[in-house]
Formats: sequence, C-alpha cells, structure tokens
Amino acid sequence: MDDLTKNFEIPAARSLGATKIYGSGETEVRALDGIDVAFPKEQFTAIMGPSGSGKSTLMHCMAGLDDLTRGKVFIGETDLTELSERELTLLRRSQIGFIFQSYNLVPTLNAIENITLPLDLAGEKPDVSWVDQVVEVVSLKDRISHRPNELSGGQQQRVAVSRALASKPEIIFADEPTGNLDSKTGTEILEFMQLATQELHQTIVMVTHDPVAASFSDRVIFLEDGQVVDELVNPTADSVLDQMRIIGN
Amino acid sequence: MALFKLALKNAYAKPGRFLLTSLAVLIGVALTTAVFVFTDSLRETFGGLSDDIESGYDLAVRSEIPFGNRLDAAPIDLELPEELSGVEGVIAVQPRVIEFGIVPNKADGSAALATRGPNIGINWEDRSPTPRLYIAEGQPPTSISEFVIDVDTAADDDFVVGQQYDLQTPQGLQNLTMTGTFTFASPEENASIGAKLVAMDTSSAVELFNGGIGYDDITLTVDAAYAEDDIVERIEAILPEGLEVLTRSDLVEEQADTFNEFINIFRTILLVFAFVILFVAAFIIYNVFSIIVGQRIQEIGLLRALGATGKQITNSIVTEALCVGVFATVTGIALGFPIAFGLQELLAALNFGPDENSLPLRPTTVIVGAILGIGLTLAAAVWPALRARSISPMAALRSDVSTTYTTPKNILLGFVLTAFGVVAIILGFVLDEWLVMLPLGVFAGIFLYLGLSRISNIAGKLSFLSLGMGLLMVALTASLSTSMLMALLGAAALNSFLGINLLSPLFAGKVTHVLGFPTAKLGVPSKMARRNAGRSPERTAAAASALMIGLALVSTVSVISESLKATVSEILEEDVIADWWVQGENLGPNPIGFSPTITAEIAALPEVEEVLAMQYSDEGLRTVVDQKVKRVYSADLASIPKYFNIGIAEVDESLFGKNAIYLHEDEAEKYGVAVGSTLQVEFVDQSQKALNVAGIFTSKSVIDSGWLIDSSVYASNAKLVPQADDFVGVLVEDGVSEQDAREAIETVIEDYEQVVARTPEELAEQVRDRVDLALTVVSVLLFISVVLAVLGVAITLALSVFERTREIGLTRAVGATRKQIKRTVRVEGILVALFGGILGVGLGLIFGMACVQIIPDDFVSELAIPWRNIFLNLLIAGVAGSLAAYFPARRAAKLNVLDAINHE
Repeated sequence: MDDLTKNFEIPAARSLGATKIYGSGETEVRALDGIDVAFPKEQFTAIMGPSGSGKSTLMHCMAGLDDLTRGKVFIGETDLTELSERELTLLRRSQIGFIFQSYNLVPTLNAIENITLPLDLAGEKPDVSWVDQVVEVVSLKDRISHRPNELSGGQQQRVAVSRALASKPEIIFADEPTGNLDSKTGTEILEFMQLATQELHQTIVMVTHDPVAASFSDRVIFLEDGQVVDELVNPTADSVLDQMRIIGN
Repeated sequence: MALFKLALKNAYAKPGRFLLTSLAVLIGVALTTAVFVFTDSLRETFGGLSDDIESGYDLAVRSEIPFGNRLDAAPIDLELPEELSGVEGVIAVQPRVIEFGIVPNKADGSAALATRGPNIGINWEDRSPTPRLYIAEGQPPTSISEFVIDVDTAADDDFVVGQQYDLQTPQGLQNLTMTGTFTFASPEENASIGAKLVAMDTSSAVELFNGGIGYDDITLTVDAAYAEDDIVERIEAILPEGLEVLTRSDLVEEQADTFNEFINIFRTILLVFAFVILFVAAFIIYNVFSIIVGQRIQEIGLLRALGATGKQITNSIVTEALCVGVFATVTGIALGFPIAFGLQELLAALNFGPDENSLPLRPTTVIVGAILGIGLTLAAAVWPALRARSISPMAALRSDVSTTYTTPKNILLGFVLTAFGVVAIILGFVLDEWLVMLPLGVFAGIFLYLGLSRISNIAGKLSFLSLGMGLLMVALTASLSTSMLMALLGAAALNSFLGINLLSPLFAGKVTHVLGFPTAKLGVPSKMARRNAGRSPERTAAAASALMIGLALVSTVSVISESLKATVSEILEEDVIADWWVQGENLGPNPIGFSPTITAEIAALPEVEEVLAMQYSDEGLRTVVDQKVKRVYSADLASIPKYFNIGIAEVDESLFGKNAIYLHEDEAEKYGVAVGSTLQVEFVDQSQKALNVAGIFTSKSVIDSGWLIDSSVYASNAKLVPQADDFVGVLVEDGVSEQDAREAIETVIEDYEQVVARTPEELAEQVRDRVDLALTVVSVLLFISVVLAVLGVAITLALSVFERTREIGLTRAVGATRKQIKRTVRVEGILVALFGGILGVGLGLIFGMACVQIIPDDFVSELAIPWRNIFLNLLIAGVAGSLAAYFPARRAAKLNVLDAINHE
C-alpha cells in the first residue's frame, strides 16, 4: 500500500459504535448512542443538532477530552480508547487542534505566544514559515505582540484559529467558533476555516447550531438523541435550515 | 519551557499579589537573616574582645573545678605567687581577684548599678610587664582606703577623682577615696562591655572582695627564651592538688565560648520567633496558591486540552512558587541587614558592645535563608500544584467542573506510606531525643495523611488531628523527660494545626453561619457576607488557619504565664511565713547576693526578732554516686520552719550542725536514703563529704531543687563559705507594725540600692509583674505572626472580591450602594477572622493547659486561665478581620458597574 492510497483511505478521525452514558438506572442519559462516523482528510465538516443531541459530547470524545462508555474512536490509525492519560495528552498536543467558543486564550501571553503555545508545550520549534503563513492569512501580522485584552473578539478568535493550525494537526475541532462573534467577523473566521481546508490542506470538524455557519462546510452531519440522523454534502444555509426543520418535527 | 515562561508571566502580571504572597516569607527570612548576621557579628566582636580581656600574660594558674560555675571556684592560697616566681623562666607573677556585686555608691548615696552587665570588683594589676589596666586620670590605688573606677562608669555616674565614695563589698560598706579612673584592656578604648568596674590594690582586694582567703587566679609572664611547654611542666610539678595551669590561648577560647553560649541562647530565642512566622507564612502561601489554582481552573483545563501534561502544569505552578520563594529569599536576606543594623544600633545605644561592628554575611546565613525561604514556599505550594495536575481538560470547556479533589485510591501505596508514618513515630520514641522527636512527629503526620488518604478519604482527613490528639494524650500520661514531653506536645500542636486546617472546611460554613447570627438583623449586605463566608469553606478555613496558629500560640503563652503567676502567688502567700524577705535585685545574668554585714545589721534592729540568711548555688555540689550536679540552698536548718512551710515529714534534730541536709522526698527516694542515713557529695573545690540526712520534706515550692544543706556544712571549709547572702528572711517582734518594720529595715539597706525588702505579698506582686513583662515581650513577637496572618486574610478577601467582580457588579446594578458592598466584604472579613480566632483560642487553651500539666510542678503547679486575655484575643481577631477587609472592601466598592458585569 503506498502513501497516497493510505492517505486517501484512512479518515482523519472516525468513531465505531461510540456510546456515552451518563448516570445509571432511572437517571441514565445516553448522550451518544452507538455513533459510527468518519471525518475524511482535508474536509470541513459541521456537526449540527438541537441542544442535548450529543454534538458537543461527540466532539469531546473524538478529541480525547472525554472517554466513551463503549465503542472506539480513532485519530488517524490510533485508537484513543487504548491510550493512557499521558499518551492521550501527547496525542492531543501533536495531532489535535482546538477552537473554542470563548476564544480561551491565555491572558498573560501575547498573540504569537498563544499561537505557538501547543508547540512550546511539546518543546518543539515552530515551523516559522508555516506560522508566518498562517498569521498572514488571518491578517494578524500587526497585532502579533498584543495581549488578548488588547484585541477585539474577532482578532482573538483568529489567534485561536491560528493556534489550532500552528502545529499542523491531523484534525481541528471547533466548538461553536462563531458563537460569540457578530455576523461579519463570524463570516471572516468561517471563510478562513474554509481556506484552511482547501488551501492549507487541514481537516476541520465544527460543532454549531447556526445554519449559516454550517453552510460554509463541505458536509453537515445531523445528530439527534445521540444518533446520526442525516447528513448533507455541500450545504447551503437554506438546505441546512430545511433539514433542521425536518429533524425538529 | 513554555510553561516556565507562563509561570514567570503569571507572577509578573499581578505584581501586587506577587508581593503580598512573598511578604510573609520575606519577613520570616529577613528576621532569620538578621538574627544570623547580628549574632555572627556579636560573635566576631566578642571573639576579639575575649582576646582583649585575656591579655597581659602568657600562662595562668587557677583552681580546677570538676563541675559548676567558675565563679564558685575555691580561692588560691596567698603563698602560691611567691612559689611560682621561683620557677625557672617565669619573669612576672600577677595574682588576680575578681568578685561580682562590688557596687560603688554615687555622691548622692544611690548605687551605680550596671544595667547592661555586672558590677565587678578586681585588683589593680601592677606586676605584669604588659598591663591590662591603664590609668586614664589620677593615680592607681595603693592602700585599703583607695579605689579606682573605669572611665565610662566615672563619666556616666559622675564620680570625681579625689572624692570619697562608699563601696559595697562582702565586708560591708567601705568609705574610700577614689584616686583615679582607668581603661580596661586597651589604653585608648575602655573594653568593659557594659560592666561597671572598680579596682583596689591587690592585698586590699583580697581582703575586701575575697574575705582575705586567697586569689581567684594567677597569671604569669614567661621568658621567650624558654619553651612554654617546659615551663608548664615545671609549674605543674610544684602545683598543689586541685590547681591547673593553662595557656593564654586556652583562656581566650574559654572566654569566647562563654560569650558564644550567651549568644547562642539569644540566637535560639530569636530564631524560634522567626520560625513561628515562617510556619504562618507557609500557611499563607498554601492558601494563596490553592486560590490561584482554583481561579485558573479554566486556564489550566485549556492548557491540558492543548496538550500540556499534568507534570507540566504542576511544574509551572511550582515555578511560580519558586519565583515567590527566590524573590522573598533574596529580598529577605537583603532586608535582614538593615534589621541586623537596627539591632546593633539598639545595643550600641544601650552602650553594649563596641561601636564599630562589621555585619558579616556567612555562607550559613545564605544557606539557611534559602532553605527556609525557597524550601518552605515550595513545600507549601506543592500540594496545590499536585492538585492542579488532576484538573481535567474538560474544565476549559465546561464551567461546572467540580474542583473538589479526592486522592486516587491506592491501597498498597497507602499501607506502605502509613507504615512509614508509624515507623517514624515509633523511631521518635525509641531514640528518645526531643530534637529528633519534633520533626519525626510532623513527618509521621504527613506520611499517615498521605497513606491513609489513599486507603480511605475520611481516615486521611482525620489522620493529622488523630495523631495530634494521640500525641497529646501520650504527652499527658507518659513518664518521659520534660524536654521529650514538650517535643511531643510541639509535634501534637503542629499536627493539630494541620489537622484542623484539613478538617475545618467541613464546618467553616456552619460556624461562620452561626457566628454571623447577630448580623442577620443588619440587612441584606450582612446576610450576603454570611453566605459568602460559607460559600467556599475551604478558602474561609485556609484564611482562618494562619490566624488560628498565631492566636493559638499567643493564647498558649498567656495560659502558661497566668498559671505561673498563680503558682508563684500560691507559694509566696502560703509557704512563706517570714514577715519580710530581703534580697538583691537581679540585674545581671546572676542574681546578686549582698554582704552578710547587712544581714547582721538587720538582725540587730530592735524591731526585729530574728533573721534567717540563705544562700544558694546553681551548681553547688554533685553527688558521688551518679555525678549529678545539684542546685543547693543553705541555711540554718533548725530555723527553717519559722520562715517557710516546706512540709517537713520527718526530722532528726540531733543531727543539726553535723553536716546535716534536708532532702525532698523524691530526691531521698532517688538516692535510697532516709533520715539518719548518709549521702556522699563533692564540692567545687573537689573536697568530698558525707552528709547526714536530718530531714525529709514534701514541698518543693521554696526549695525547688529539693536540696537544702545546713550552714554548718560550709563552715568547716573556709574556701566554701559564701561571700554573700542571697535571701534573708526576717521575723518582726510582736506588736511592731508593718510600717515601723519597713522603716527600720530601710535604715539598714538604704545604702544598698539594689537590696530590697518586701513582704511576701509584695514579692508575689513583683514576680507577677515580671511574668507580665515577659508575657508582653513574647506576645509582641508572636503578634508579628498574627499581623502576617491578617495579611493572609486580606489577600484571601482581595482574591474573593476579584472572583466575584461580576456578582458585585450585578448587586450594584440592582441597587446596592457602595457602602453596602463595603459592608458585605467587611462582615465577611470579620467572620473569617473570628472563625480563625475561635479555633486558635480553643487550641491555645488546650495546649496551654497541657503545657501547665507537663511543666514540672517546681515551676508551675496551679492551672489558671486568663479569661480576660482570651476574650481580648478574640476581640483582636474580630478587629483584625475588619482591618484586613479595608482595602478589598474599598476595591469592591469602587468597581465600575458596567465593567464588573462584563467581567469574565
């Protein structure tokens, strides 16, 4: 098997029968109920679903932040459920990027220090040309030495996106990345995420409940009651909204 | 590296908090450094001084003392100098006399008492070719009617050359002409280090200071052409039994050792206070770092999500602690110098020690400072740092992640650690050494905690307090040496502090709720404060802990001193039957006796029926059978019952006057003797005697050592006869009023300012005053730790205000006034401080009572609780809490409402 076919066949992340149960007996809640899903490389995937559908839980489990009750989760070829806490940490550090709703920047570090933080944590030298390229694309060049509290919300989120990209992870998970932003800056971020998959060959999985945000993705997966109920390829805001209505009913 | 940088930035981002956190350790390190630098400087100075004091000769001959105080040594025969001058190679022979308590009276009749050292009488040394005494003005003394005085005393007390003055000597008051002034050890500078010196010519000094019996030592100057060792050998050949010959360097070293002994005691006492402060500082650091970890829970979760390992998180917090520790240590050491300089200036202002002192920074000082400053900070921060590593990455994503921490179960490791703890405590008992017991007791607590908490959460929480209470019980019931019992008590106290710190979160909420009851009527702000104090019980408990320790120590000390006062009152008012009690005021390190001529004059007063002279010596004799040195009192045994109630159980009066001794029942039992048996003892002049046990007594209240010998024992050996009386009991004739008796006795002692006559009630009052003074000094030093603890409360409140910024904004938005916000914070401060105060006072009472129980009954037998002081301590806690809240409350009140609401 040569490298090309391997890359082609193995998705960046996938789950097999992923099940997550909170509580037991009467109070048992099945947040994930046997989910089989795959996120192919260099794709921008959106996960949608009503509140409590399990979309955030799925993301946390896929990212190795939370553990499954049953089933398996893979990043590339690695089975996360087989890993120790330490191995998980090292994997998160090198192969997974995160973008959070509330930016989650470290307030005492400036923009560039925040961007290179995961690499610094791993004790690795950042790929300077790559980081420069990322910073260039998100137009942060002149704000690079500012602290988070000196940046606008949009700028902060662009720093967060750059941080996720800096280590060229296998996959990036974004949790409502535009939730705190106005529509204009939100759009900028989403366009940039699109750009990252198309031109920088990154893989992004985004959880959102905003149909407009979802329309920027290549594919939308719909969850309900911990199960995948549908998916849409090349979505538009309208088609996503229609689908949501169907699920809602 | 990344987190190292982050740790530095975190430290740098909040300079105020960083400084406050460092402050407690900084002060502890500064004090420790000051103590070391200052005592090293004293040591250097006194080292040089020893060389000056022991100058002007090559060899010295003196009495050997098998034990005891050199001042008690037997005098040397008057003929010996003549014999020594015949030894080949000896150029000059200088006999010397030194006697303490020789006091000159000033022109107005008051005594020129030395307050910073002893009053000493010496002989004018005129035979040595290299003198030690130099005339500054006038002439040296040449007859028994002349004396000279050191220049400083002459200047301070207005002694004028050529005038007549009274000199207090063991032979009574002598009216002498002052023929001159002199400097000691150097012609330029008088090296008398606070002592007041008078000198008479050698034969007069022997006569008046030493009762005509002999010299205290003899110094020799030798011909450099001879080998010193040969001369020493020749001298040894002719020396009578019981004398020894030493070189000057031996004596310089001995002198320096004597100084060092004092300096070391001084150092130990100051260090104890510095360590108390550092212990409190450790609590504050622990407290602040716990809060920091709590506040940064999201940030830490984020770092974990981004791939930081638990170890990296722990390291980053430890690094931050390291910054605090290093800063506190470096600044503390630097700040130690001004404090040491201050101490030095203070002593110089008191004219103690020479003026030019270097302040040496020894490597030991830096090492001790660094170990304490950095080590302690790290030790205190390590627990919060370890807790931080278990924060889940989910904490970054969810706000509801619990921050409570439970130790992961690991039964095997738990048992191993518990076993370590058990071994540590057993080892402590096996080694039976107090200095080892204390740290082992604390280690045992830590190991038990680490071990038990891995087996069962509750067992872990109870471990410290259980061990503390267990050790307390052992200390109260076991029969071990007093120092060992005190070490057990110390270990029990430290474990209890840690235990309560661990357990108090469980009840901090409830207690503050109850404490806040009176504030319930004061409206919503107070109600909120009450809830806030109970909201994060861990924080309330931690903030209160530091205050608890400080107040526990203050309360313990006040219980001990109150009990000491009660004991003294009881003894003096019940066991002293004598109408009056005459004694010399204790000015120097040793209580000074007074001339027996005073005793005789009082006895001769028509108002006085009779008197009893008593002498005592701290190291008066030693038993032959087990070589134990005893403090011994001497008096006329037959008269004792008329003056004191010592509980004589059995007596054989036929033995009085025949080397008789009264023994306390414990001592009698120890040496297996009864009335009628004999006990072999050795005196400082190496003579032995069989003492006849004439009586057994049961109360140690007056004769605390249990050894009381008949005056006749000394009478048979002129060298042992005490030169001074230490206490004199007086019985007044029937019908003489207290006022008349006082006036009569005053006529005798008015020429001896330091000699005071008191009724037993007055004596008790005076002792109580002294205990109060000591209590005040100790409390002031301990209050430094209370002040730091208050600072800890302030930091906690400030952090809690910061954390509740949004909440405060909302409260303001719905109509709370600035005043109300302020009150909320202030009441919370008071509640937290009162909580600490109650815990501290409670523990202080328990340990104070335990101390009283453990301290031998010779010192403290009555338990008394100073309720007024205890209440005062609680009041102080409340006020302290209010003060601690001042700045946090202001800050909270000043918050901009809109900014506060938008605060994340």
